[in-house]
Amino acid sequence: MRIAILLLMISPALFLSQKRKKGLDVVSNIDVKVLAMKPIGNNWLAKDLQPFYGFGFGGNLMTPINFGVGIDYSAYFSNVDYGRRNSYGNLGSPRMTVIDAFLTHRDEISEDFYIEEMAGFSFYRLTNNFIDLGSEQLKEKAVGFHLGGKAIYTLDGPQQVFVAGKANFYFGNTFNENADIRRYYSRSVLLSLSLGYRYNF
Amino acid sequence: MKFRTVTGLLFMYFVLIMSGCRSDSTDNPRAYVEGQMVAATVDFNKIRHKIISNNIVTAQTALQAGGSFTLSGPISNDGFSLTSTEKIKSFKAEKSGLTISADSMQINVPKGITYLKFIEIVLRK
Repeated sequence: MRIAILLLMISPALFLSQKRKKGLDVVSNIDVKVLAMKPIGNNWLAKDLQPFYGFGFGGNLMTPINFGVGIDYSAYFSNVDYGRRNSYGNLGSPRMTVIDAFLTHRDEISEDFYIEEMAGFSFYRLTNNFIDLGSEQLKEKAVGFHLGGKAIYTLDGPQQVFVAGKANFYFGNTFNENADIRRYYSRSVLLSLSLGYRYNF
Repeated sequence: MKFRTVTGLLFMYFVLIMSGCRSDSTDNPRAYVEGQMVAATVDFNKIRHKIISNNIVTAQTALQAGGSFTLSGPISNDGFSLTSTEKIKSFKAEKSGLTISADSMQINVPKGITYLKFIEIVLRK
């Protein structure tokens, strides 16, 4: 009986403490990050190249209903695997630029820990130097989509750090008569991991 | 109402993605050549093969131990040629229209062919 009264007395306090007041305005943030990316599957990016490393910038707009939009720009750098030059071509220093536009949803796990999921549309540009010509470049454009997740930890006030994982699906337009060869040189799945710093305002 | 907007946006994304997934254009051709060399006296380690398109070497390789090779590189829309470092006597391929050049050093591939498998390429030596 006494315990029941005690619980009754405490419960409003518990209930009210959980119901924190949220601001009703749209929050925006920008971030910088370092990236590592590994293409997987049976395709030229996965078999003929070393893993990609790079850096990126991004921005988000988050609404009070926990849905938001965002954009990410990433630049990746790689090298052709030794012994795979016959398959990749007489090309060097591959670079990939990825622009991701996405919808995002935020889950609040605790006061300073958040999880965000994102899904969206991606644009890719793969640039290679012709070894034979030095400065001239081979440019390939591709489109695709991506799915990802982000774990965010609040340091203090507007500053946050995060770890993000993303799976990008790459659909290029390289042509070959043989369907298997065409698939090998135009489709890929890119798994990337990033570590970043984000500032809210 | 807000959820309906989100669903609508997702649907738009999906439509855009699906329209972007087609890859039936020939804008960005890439050649893929594989084959087998036959020679009596030449050391296979000294032979190099190249894919040349528009006077650019876009792929280059040495032969594997048994004389087989695989070569791939981006090409222009005007066809390409396969160049060897030794003179070619004859070849057998699955496609027609290929010619040996006057100096016997290369096989010219007409435009439109991007995948090529040589059953054998016989060298003069």
